[in-house]
Formats: sequence, C-alpha cells, structure tokens
Amino acid sequence: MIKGENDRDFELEAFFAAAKQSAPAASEALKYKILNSSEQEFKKPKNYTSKQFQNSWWYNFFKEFGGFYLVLGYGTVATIGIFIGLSSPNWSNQILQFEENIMIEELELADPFIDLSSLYLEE
Amino acid sequence: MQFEHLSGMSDEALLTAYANGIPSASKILTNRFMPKIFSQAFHRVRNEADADEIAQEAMLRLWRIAPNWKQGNAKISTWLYKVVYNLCIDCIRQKKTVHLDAVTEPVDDRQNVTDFLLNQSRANALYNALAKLPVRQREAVSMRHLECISNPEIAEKLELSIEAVESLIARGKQKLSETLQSQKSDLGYQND
Repeated sequence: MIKGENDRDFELEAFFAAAKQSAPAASEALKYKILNSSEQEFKKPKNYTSKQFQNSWWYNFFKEFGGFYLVLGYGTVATIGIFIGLSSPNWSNQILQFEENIMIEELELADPFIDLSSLYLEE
Repeated sequence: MQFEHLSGMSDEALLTAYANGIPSASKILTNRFMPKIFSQAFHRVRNEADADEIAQEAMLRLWRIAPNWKQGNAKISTWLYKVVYNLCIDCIRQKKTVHLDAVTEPVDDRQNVTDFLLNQSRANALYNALAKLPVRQREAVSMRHLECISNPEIAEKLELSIEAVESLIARGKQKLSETLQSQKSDLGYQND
C-alpha cells in the first residue's frame, strides 16, 4: 500500500517533536548577558551621522576614498610634498655642515694629551 | 516612558526608541527576539553554548546598528535572521573538524534516561537528514517545523513567494521522509 501524505506528515511530525523536545530553551543567563550588552552599548558615546549629510556629495566623495580621515591624510601628504618641492630649503647642505662640525669636535677630543706629551719630550 | 506603553510599539519603533535614549526598549526587544534567534541558532549549530554566543552576538550587533537603522528598509526579524544565519555558518566552519554527534549532551535529570537517549537519537537522525537537503529546503523546513514560523514570514526572510516556500517545504519533507524511512525501526517508531 502506498502511504498517503498525511501518514508521511504524521511520521515526520514525530521526528520534529523529538528535535523540538531535545532543544533547550534560552536561559535567563543569556537574557542577562544580552541586556547587559545593551546597557553597555547605550552608555557608549555614539557618532551620529545625520541622514542629510549621508546623502550629500561630500559624504559619498569621502566614502569613495576610504573616509574623511584618509582623505585628510592624503591631502596633508600632498601639501607637504608640494611645499618641499617648491621651497627647496637646501636642508641637505645644513645636515652635511652639522655632521662636519661633529667630526671636527671628535678629532679635537681624540687625544687631549697630545700637547702635554710634546712638552715632556722637549724636557 | 512607561514600560506598558513601549510594549505596544512595533520592533522598528522600539529600536528607534532605544537609539534615542530609552534603554528599557531593549528589554522588550530582547524578550521578543531572544527565544527566536536562540532557537534558530540551536537548530543549526546543535550546541547550546554556541547558540548562546550567536544569540548574544546578534543582539549586540542590533544594539550597535540602532542609531543608523533605516526605517522601511527591512524588518528587524529579517535582518536578525540573516545575521544569525551567517554567524551559524561561521561557527559550523570553525568547528568542522568536530563531528556533531561526538559532542556530548548534558543529561536532563527530569527525563527518563532511555527516553532521553531515544529522543536524542531521533533528533540526531532528523538533523542529519536535514543536513542532506539543499540549503533553501533545509531552511524552509527548519523554520516551519522546528521554529514554528508561518509561511508568509518564511517567505519574507528567504525573499521568496509564499507558493515557492510551500513548494520548498513539500519537497524537503518528501526527501526527509525518504531518508528517515530506513532508520525508523532503529529509532523505535515501529509501534507508533
């Protein structure tokens, strides 16, 4: 005899009932954790972005390039680059001069008794 | 605002209220969604601790998105369903090396041990048969018969028509029946 759809549903229903019975209910501890997390999130300062700003051209422009701060970073780097390129303050010569001064000082301090020993030798 | 007033509000209105500085709205949202998402997670990961974590994470994401929630875009229940679904997939992927049948279940003292084990075997057989179904059939059957969600709601969550959901459930149940047929006598159903 071919089993009807009702028989099949009845048999499956027994399996579903077993699965539902074996599933635990959500615990009070979980509820407490969720409510605790909601309180903590509630206390956090929020960065609201107004909907008017979200639809603006600037907002989409910044979003396209990775956000306002990234665009600001690109802008700063570009400005410094242009400044260095245009003003060319010849810093490399100043650095070289500074290094020379240090070397002279090191040479002078290399043997502080050199004059004394020549005096003794004369005696 | 009084708790009683809040309890009559829609989910979206409650989330907006929470975002606008009424913390008690989160309590009502928790009461409404926690059992559903815990059940959804448990029937997919089959582990209480993992289901707990998934439910907690999903609700945390809801609190975080509250200030930027766009009303009219999606229902909170649909959004949560998708979040939980993705978290379950991540969880299953991470634990793929551990066979789910190998996980020991805590024994419930209130139930006869033999009945408990038989129930567990039946549940495991059903879950294993469900795992063999195509994803959409599995989701539709799980939601309808394990989580007791109505067909229109399932249609909304799966972004399908009600007819398509009914068809998925019917085909899913047909395959489940075929898979479980051979195991029925081992699971103590010969006398049912």
